[in-house]
Amino acid sequence: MSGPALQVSNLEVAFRRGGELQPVVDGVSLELAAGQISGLVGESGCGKSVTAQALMGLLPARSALTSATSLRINGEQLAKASARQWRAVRGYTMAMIFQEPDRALDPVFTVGTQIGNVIRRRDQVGKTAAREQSLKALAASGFAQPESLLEAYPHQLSGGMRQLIMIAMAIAVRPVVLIADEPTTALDVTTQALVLERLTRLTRRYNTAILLVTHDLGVAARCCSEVMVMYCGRLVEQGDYRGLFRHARHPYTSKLLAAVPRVGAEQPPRGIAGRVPALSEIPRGCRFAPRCSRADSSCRASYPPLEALGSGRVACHHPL
Amino acid sequence: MNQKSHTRPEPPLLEVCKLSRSFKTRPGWFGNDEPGFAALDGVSFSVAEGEIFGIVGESGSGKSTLARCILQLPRPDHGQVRLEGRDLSGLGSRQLRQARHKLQIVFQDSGSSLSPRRTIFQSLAEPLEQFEPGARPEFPQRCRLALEQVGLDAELLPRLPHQLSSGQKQRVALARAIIAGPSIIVADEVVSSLDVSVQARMLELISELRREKGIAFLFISHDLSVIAQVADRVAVMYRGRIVESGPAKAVFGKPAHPYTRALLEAIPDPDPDVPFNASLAPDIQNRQQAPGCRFATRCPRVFRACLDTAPGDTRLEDHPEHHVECLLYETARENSQ
Repeated sequence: MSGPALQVSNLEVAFRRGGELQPVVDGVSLELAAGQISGLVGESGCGKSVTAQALMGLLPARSALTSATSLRINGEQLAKASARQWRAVRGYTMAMIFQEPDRALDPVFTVGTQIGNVIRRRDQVGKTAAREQSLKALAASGFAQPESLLEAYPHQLSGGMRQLIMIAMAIAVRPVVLIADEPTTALDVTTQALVLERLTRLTRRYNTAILLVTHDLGVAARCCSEVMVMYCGRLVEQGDYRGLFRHARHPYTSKLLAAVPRVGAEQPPRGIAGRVPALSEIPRGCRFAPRCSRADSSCRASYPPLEALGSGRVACHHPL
Repeated sequence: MNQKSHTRPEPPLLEVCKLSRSFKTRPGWFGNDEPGFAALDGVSFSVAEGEIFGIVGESGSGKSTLARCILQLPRPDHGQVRLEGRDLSGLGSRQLRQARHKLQIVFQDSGSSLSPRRTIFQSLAEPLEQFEPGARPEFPQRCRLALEQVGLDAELLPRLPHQLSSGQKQRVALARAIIAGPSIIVADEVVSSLDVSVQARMLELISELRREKGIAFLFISHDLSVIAQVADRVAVMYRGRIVESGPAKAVFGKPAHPYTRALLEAIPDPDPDVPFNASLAPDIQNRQQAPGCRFATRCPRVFRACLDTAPGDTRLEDHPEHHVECLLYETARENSQ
């Protein structure tokens, strides 16, 4: 297959709030390459999760207005897709895992039934074949004794196990694009490491393109080749992770990196003064200007476009 | 950070002695109960005045049960908690309420510990009503001061919790804890749900409260890098026991227990060139309890004796206060003697 696994141009999402439209995601364009994990990082409230849900066509039209000039998944144009078209995509070419697997797993069905259903729907196979494939998927996601899990209900499992079951479902689907929204946030470091390792393996084995939404730059550092930094509904910087870590161009990226607590670091983490502006009070110019020490009148007057700089792209009038 | 140099005050501010608590795994028929799951199994440590003592461990290690048992909610099965020399386990509920004046707790999710229908002022004034009902005319002033001490604007007083960000709510929870003038605050995962940008400032605030008001903290977190930032001393918990403890510099700089090492290696550092070794299999799908070391089933350095001999407390040579519970060090010590 040529071209990116997923490509979106000018994604815009606005929430309907009491007759008004509040923009949440504003002109995001991105591409996901097959066989790679791309990170989408930023603070809470920056629009990462909404972007992820919009890419899956999951935002209900009655509460959110979603539009994009183009949204291609595996070559198929879905910018104006109907609910029926989306149903044929989700669970086949695309899959998603969430921060809280409890919301995605049904409490009244066993793990075996739930994974089995995914497989039977995708591959049109019988129960026995589905069971076999379920066992394979569970083993591939890191369980030593998958048989004992098939009869288990979600509440009998720990949070880490439930997340690995979500990954097993994703493995069973073998999607072209997997969107993972904060998949390790609630997990212990050891479980987190296993989840990240399995996600990386998924990209190698099935050439899946993964969008990893995370607030944790350490997580991004471990598995993302490319990262996109989001602030207040817009991408502010994009580039290869290593380059970005060594030389962040956007002041926000640099401050975000300085805020991460690290064992054995000489300097304590530094917080970012101020806060992410509320949807109703988004500033006119650069959205980071009120918190930025480099901001001047030009920053307050106009929003800097995302432009190529070095090996990546940055949206800043005064890049570092 | 220089609290460690002078001699420990007598008695320590908070002393936890052989604390144990188990929970029933399933209610038995006709009261015929199973022995239950030991969430805490003989935990002992002490916190000095103005010290930040960190407790770290994975989920299920008993950290939160420890926090709650210290406040006697619920009461521990065995062991003592002494606050300024006074045993809390013997106190009745009224005396206990008075003792909590000096011992406050802040939880991870302040959204659920602040009443959604009460203004910030009402929530902040609650401990004052409890402990100093006579001082009512001073309440507004005291609440304003408490908010300022946690870096919030007094304008927030008439607001309701839903009008605040999660970082602000967490600060309000901290303000409510300091308003009664405690000598120690139990902080259970207080920064875990915050963004790093907000988290860093919350950690600064905790260090500042310790420095300026001399408040000690029992700082509980699953995040080692957060603990490393604030704690003077740390204890690493695994399945209800402290497996390693000592000054933060010693424990994080020269980790002794294979568990501590594995945890440190599994932290993803934002620097892509920092080595990352996630070799320790996560604790999924095995809960069986060996008679020996609890960590034996996961330990990369396990040997036969670990399976049936429970390790005792060993003092390490790098620092007189650095302790570990691991047979590797016990045998090393015996061999050298």
